[in-house]
Amino acid sequence: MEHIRTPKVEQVRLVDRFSNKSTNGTLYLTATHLIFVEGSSNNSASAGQEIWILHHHIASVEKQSLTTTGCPLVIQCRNFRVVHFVVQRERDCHDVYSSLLRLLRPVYYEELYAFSYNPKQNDQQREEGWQLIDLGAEFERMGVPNDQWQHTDVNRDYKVCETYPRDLYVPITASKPIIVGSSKFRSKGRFPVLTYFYQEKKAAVCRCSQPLSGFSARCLEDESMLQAISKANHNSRFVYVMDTRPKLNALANRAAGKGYENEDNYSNIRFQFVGIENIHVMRASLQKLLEVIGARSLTMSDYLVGLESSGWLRHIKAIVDAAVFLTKAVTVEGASVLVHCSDGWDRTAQVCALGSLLMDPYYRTIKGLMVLIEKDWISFGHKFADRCDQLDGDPKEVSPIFTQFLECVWQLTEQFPHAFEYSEWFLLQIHEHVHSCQYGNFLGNNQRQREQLQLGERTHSLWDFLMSEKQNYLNPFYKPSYSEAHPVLEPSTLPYHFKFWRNMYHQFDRSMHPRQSILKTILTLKENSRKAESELQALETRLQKLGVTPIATSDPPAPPPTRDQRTNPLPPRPDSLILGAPINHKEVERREEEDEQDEVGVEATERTDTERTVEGSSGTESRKQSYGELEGTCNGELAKEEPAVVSLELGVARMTC
Amino acid sequence: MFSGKPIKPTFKCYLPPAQTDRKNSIQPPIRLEPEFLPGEIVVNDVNFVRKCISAESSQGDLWGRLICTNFKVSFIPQGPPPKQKSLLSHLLLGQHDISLTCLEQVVTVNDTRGKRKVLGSNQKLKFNPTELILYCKDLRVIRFCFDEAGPESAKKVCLAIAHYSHPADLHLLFGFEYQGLRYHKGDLVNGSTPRGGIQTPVFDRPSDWDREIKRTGASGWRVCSINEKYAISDSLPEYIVVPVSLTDQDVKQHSPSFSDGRVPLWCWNHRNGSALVRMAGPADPLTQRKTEQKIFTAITKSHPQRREVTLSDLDKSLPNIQDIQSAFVKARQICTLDPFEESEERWLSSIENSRWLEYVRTFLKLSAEIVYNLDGKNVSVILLEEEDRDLNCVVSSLVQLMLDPHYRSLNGFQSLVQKEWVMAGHRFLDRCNHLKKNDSKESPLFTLFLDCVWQMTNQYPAAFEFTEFYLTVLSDSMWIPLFSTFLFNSSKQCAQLLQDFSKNKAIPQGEDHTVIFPPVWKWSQQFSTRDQTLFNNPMYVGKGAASVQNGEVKSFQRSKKAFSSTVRISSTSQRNGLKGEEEPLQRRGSLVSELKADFSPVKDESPSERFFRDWFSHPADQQGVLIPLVLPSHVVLWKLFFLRWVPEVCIPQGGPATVYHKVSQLVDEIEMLQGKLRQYKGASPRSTPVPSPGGPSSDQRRMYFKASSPDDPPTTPNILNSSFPFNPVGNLCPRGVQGTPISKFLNGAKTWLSTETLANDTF
Repeated sequence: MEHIRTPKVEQVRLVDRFSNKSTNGTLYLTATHLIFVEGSSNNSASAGQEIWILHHHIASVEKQSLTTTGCPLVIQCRNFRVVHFVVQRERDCHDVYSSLLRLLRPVYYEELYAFSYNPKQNDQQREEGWQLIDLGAEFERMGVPNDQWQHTDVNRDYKVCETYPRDLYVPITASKPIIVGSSKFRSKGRFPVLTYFYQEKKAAVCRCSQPLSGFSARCLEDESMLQAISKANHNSRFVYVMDTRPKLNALANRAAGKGYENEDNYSNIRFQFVGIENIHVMRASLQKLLEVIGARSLTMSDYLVGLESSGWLRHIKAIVDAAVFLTKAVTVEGASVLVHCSDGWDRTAQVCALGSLLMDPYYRTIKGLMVLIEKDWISFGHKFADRCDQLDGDPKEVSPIFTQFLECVWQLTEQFPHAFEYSEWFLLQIHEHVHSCQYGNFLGNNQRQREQLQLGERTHSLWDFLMSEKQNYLNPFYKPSYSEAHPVLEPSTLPYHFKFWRNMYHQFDRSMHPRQSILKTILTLKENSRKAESELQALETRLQKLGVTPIATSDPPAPPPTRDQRTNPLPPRPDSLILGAPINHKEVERREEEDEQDEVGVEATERTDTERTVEGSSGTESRKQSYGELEGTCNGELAKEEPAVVSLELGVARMTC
Repeated sequence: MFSGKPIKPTFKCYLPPAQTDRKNSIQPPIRLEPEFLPGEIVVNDVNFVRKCISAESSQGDLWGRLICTNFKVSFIPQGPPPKQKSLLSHLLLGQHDISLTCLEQVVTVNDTRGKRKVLGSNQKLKFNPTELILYCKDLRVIRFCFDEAGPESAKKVCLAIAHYSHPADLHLLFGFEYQGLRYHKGDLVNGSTPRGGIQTPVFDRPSDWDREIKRTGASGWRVCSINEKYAISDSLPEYIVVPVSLTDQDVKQHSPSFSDGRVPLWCWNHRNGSALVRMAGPADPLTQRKTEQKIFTAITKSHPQRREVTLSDLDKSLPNIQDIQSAFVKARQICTLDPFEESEERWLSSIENSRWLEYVRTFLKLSAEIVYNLDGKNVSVILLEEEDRDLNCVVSSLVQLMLDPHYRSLNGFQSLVQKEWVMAGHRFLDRCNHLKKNDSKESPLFTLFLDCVWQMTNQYPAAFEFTEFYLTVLSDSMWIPLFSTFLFNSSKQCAQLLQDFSKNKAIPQGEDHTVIFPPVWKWSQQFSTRDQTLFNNPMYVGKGAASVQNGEVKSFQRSKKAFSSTVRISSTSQRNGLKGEEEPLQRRGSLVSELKADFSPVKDESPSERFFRDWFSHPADQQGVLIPLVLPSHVVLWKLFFLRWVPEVCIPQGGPATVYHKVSQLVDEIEMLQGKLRQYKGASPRSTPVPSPGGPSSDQRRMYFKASSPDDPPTTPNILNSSFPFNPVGNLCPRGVQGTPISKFLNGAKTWLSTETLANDTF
């Protein structure tokens, strides 16, 4: 690569963000990654740590002034990793700095990693990967089309709305002229279309952008459109129109010839403002949050006041509040709801997606969440390229809208730990790849653009990759039966329930994480349970072969595995932040030798020889390596039913290997 | 049980007899009889009372009879029992009962006349109350309305409740009546001695201390009985542990130099030989220096490496008891009384403003520092506090909890509380303010300790044998005056009072003249065996307990190798805050671009910081030292404790209980499978060390939730919510009907203020 002046710099010091810990090593600059390899010179056990940073993840590079030890280089990433190098020679530092400067400013989509990333799949596999999510099938699952809702091909050439997908669903009474007329009265042509259908009450969730109503403008077709949505639902005489903006913002838009629906002009609507702030407020809020949590030696007071004044959790709460409102209108009142904001691709996507997730247990499964993101975010034109800053664009367009959505889901998983098939690692992994530009799914701003880029032929699909790793993201607390009994989630949105998401915003700050986690413990327990069971079965078979009947006991018969265990065989150890158990081969061997001895305490303090922190790299190779490391956990030692020492120590961010 | 005969003066009654005359009371259509404990008598009662269930509307309110006894305030609802019964059945208190000791404030309100009065003992009430609001120490707020009740009877009940909740003397607490009577009749549960069935050592005898010395390998220390009959100190236990180099005579001689004669008290020994000692401030400044020197020398001699001791002055580094009290009062106010709509935006800053979390963090942080001294620096530590009866209790027990896995077992934890709180002379009577006499002495130190423990369990969810439910009911038990644990200021006071009492009660000749007053640790007093399984943390693996019984704790032997310095501290520090010549490269307004990274090492790392950093860079061994993370984001509000009664906060079908449910089932299944396996394998040497009883039958099983059999519907029980196993319904009704002037007043009123300031506040 012509941009890389110095591919390798030796004697670079990596300084920990929160402690004064530092390690020496070598910095490598490749076409796709910045790699730090810890040197073996400092004869510590932890030699060999590697940090891979994908260029696309880098948000900013800062070269600070020269000090006596060298030239500091601070790199901040979109996945909230912050690394601080000290390069001995200023010249080297400058070379790395200016190379990065160029490397992290791709101008064309073709420069993005997804176009060069090759996970060793053939074309057929690639194609199958892209076919994993089928939105047509998803609408069928919801029961659409039906007697009230139909498919329309009005947008098959992206002529009515550039930022909508080709396939759209509208009320049967909405004729083409109505659609076209309505689209002309809506910002960016984003007319009301169906996004979720609640079969039980035949109520619809529709989405659109703000009307071009200004102070007095009307549009009969748009009014008919809303009328059609209303008529399609016999359960309710009116439609809720949710403007997810604060009222003030909506009013301000009127001056620009936009605005909101006038209840007098539309029959049978109930209009409601929700008050989610705009992308600029959200961007500033996250920035403040990161400032607060990035500060060293915070007092309790600094932290709590800073957290509050950042407003971040308040914004998250506002989104959940809106989703709860939507859910109640649909599931309790049986009313259809039309959701919009300004352009209908940020707040609208957040609220529609989160609302659907509250209503429909399917979206709380791994496949379901993929479908939901594909539908409400990707296909309906959330501007991932702009919001995630994929190319050199307008800084004012960048905003953590999708991150907020993932956080909302996480907050819900914290309230209902058993209602979700996925654990937070799934959310983190998605977040990672929304920014990695390693897969084609999130590239570009809308479907039309993606088709032009031929992403289906030139890149790979993230969903396929995540599906292949499904077992890593399973939530051990998940109870499918719960969803049958309680399909609709009713979260509490009191401020007490909104927590700071440490595993997201401190993902890579090893020193910030507790040493033990419930998730890891229960996985170990599950493993023990499975072991005990299979051993039991083996013994029983042996007894039968010997012609002995198993000992009858007064106990109730040992229960066969619980249902979900039968359907979901225990996953191999996921190698994620918390799940990644630092088990080393030596330990396993020794355990086998010294069967009787109980040395857990001492063993636990030992470390593995290799330690890898890889971010956004391609290799499934390194993943396999970590699996190998982890396999040893299940030594068949039943007497030691206690979980191996729980720690996230070495697993930090292996997720993206 | 209460019978028709007139009330015998077994319990001092200050109310005029007319008020206790129950003939006047209206005969209810159905007799609503409460359940009484032995010795419990009805003082007053009133019918047709409405208990408020929701703050917003009167829908769902319960009608029934309100009774004041010498033990509790009881409400007996009319009609059939509710479909959804309370999950927990407390054996001493019913769902609608509040023990009198639990009452913080009794407030009467006359809605129509806009009057309101906080009632104390022996007071008059000039208006007929329309409402009675009971503010409880366990954070409940319970409201009764008298719209249909006889005004006079209502008034009498209110006065009786106020009066009986302010006992003039410790003797008047119901516990004496109850335990005395039980003893008298000889119908003790299990007919056991006070120790019967309790495995927790109480540390009232030398052998308990001896065992502790052996367990910790404290070879330089011995049990000293110089304080038998409380000869040298009123607040120390009768048996204390001192350095072997000090003779009994030395101890006696040194004792007057310390406040209340409290010679330094051994708490615990590290395997490496360093000891944790607690000490009171000087009583006599003249002899103090000399005495201290001698004691320090003796402690140094007891250290295998003769290390110098480190003195930690807690009064200087920690908030005082009044600070802690006011922080708790504020936190409680925020969590239970402030209207949510208004506090929503300011939730974090209000909780910050209370400073409760800050104090929790301060205590954890200081305790971790002491862990560093004992474990990392291998020196003995003396905790110094003026009286050695408050802050020292918190810190010494936290340090031991971090260092010694034994104390993370249920029995170990109880023995820790017994040793460092009860026996060390924490003034439970004053700090709990059971007699409501001196508010300035009230301080929730024990609650603070429990919160700190909870923070530890939150960070190490598998390292503790007990659950947060256990911690919560332990704190609730402070407000039931039947257990010796939380009633007295010292073991001497306990012994003294019990002796006096048994003399007064004229216990038959020939019998032991001490009334038996069991500690709270006898949980069968409060909960059924099944409910007690809620104490068990399914994730805990009880290896610590097993190895301790063998007198051998290998736990905190951390191999020194593990501390090999993996990292050199950079001696060079960069200049802070200097802007580089080159402007930082910002990638076009990206989110993080404007962050001013502060990376330059601000100061040189202290040795303790380095110790912690090292410790945290290794996997935690839950059978070894456990150090909590104490960055602000790691200290969080203990929701179950503070918010369990708040109906708005409750997440139906959600919350941590769902995880508890799942893990319990899983562990239960594993235990059953292992039981089976052991049967098949027979007496193979491998399986012998497993301590659990062979083939646990279903009632022996340790988990509250049993593994589901394939025939059961695998659904989550509907009882699960974020308050589980508590029931928020009707337990928090601070507000009046919306919109009335009185309700607004009540919302704004600082009702948790002390009785003194509000006592005559009527208008």
